[in-house]
Amino acid sequence: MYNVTRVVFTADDTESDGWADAMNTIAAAAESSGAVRHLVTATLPGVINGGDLIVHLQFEDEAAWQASRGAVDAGLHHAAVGQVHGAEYTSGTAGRSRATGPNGVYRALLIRVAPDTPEDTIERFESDLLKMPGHISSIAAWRLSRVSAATDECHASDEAPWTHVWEQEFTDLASLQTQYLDHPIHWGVVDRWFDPECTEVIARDRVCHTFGKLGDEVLPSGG
Amino acid sequence: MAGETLYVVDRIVTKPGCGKKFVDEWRTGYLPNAGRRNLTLDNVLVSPPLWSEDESNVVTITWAVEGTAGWWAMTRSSRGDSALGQWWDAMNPLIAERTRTMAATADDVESLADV
Repeated sequence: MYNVTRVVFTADDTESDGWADAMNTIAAAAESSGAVRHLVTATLPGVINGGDLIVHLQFEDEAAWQASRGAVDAGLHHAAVGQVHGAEYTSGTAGRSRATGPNGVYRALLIRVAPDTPEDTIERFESDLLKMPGHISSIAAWRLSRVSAATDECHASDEAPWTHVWEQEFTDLASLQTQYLDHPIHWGVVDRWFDPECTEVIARDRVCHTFGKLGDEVLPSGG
Repeated sequence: MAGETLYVVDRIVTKPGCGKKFVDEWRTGYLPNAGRRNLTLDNVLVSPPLWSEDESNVVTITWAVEGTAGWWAMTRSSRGDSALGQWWDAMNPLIAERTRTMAATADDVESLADV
């Protein structure tokens, strides 16, 4: 599966009608993109560098995406759209637990690992992230992928692109905002890779932490 | 999980003869601002407990933080403070190796994971 995620920010001085039109335009582009699965959802309060709208598309392969990207990109080039974080990636390690919830939340964390990071260090970082679902019961599904193409329209050209996308489906918003943060697997194990005072830090740049309401399941269980 | 104390543990192995110099620099350059980031000094241990011109010291600094909310407030505050990184960089000539790890009392381990 080839995945495309766009985190869309409202342009400065956009009025609500303009943004509503942009969301409708983007949703229509996603709907007609030919994606096997797609999610277009407004972000919820609490995102960090997480924009106003999440667009997530899954295609059979990269060729299918390339055939559709013109129309999707055109939808994103709306006057009401400002910055866009973007990542494209083949599905990485994924899984699904038995947890379910009627008010599910899709969450994506876009990460930049420093470009000089040794491969074995990256693998230990990824291994730590993938430990989280085993400890945090509200993670109903997860996927950790390495980015093959990244965009970020507002960043300087010398800034490293997104390298990883860490996605989850949570059973509910409250669990994302409490259990996920409070569990020691997060603050006691994983966060060292993001903390500049820890010697293990490899993700020094600001992350994109975004989430929105989930309708149907969007993350496949096997990648 | 109800407001347990969390601990941030800095373990610094100094270069030979640099133990006292590092602790002095830490007392004047790091400690005074730590409280503003929710870090409460719990303990500073030096091993071996003597200053030597030829030997390294292992300096173990333990900070207490109240609860996970306090911990996240601490780490977010620290990430916004570029002076911290500069301070650690300035200490490199005195440090052979160091780690920062997170800890809790053994009695709190199970309750912390029960969230």
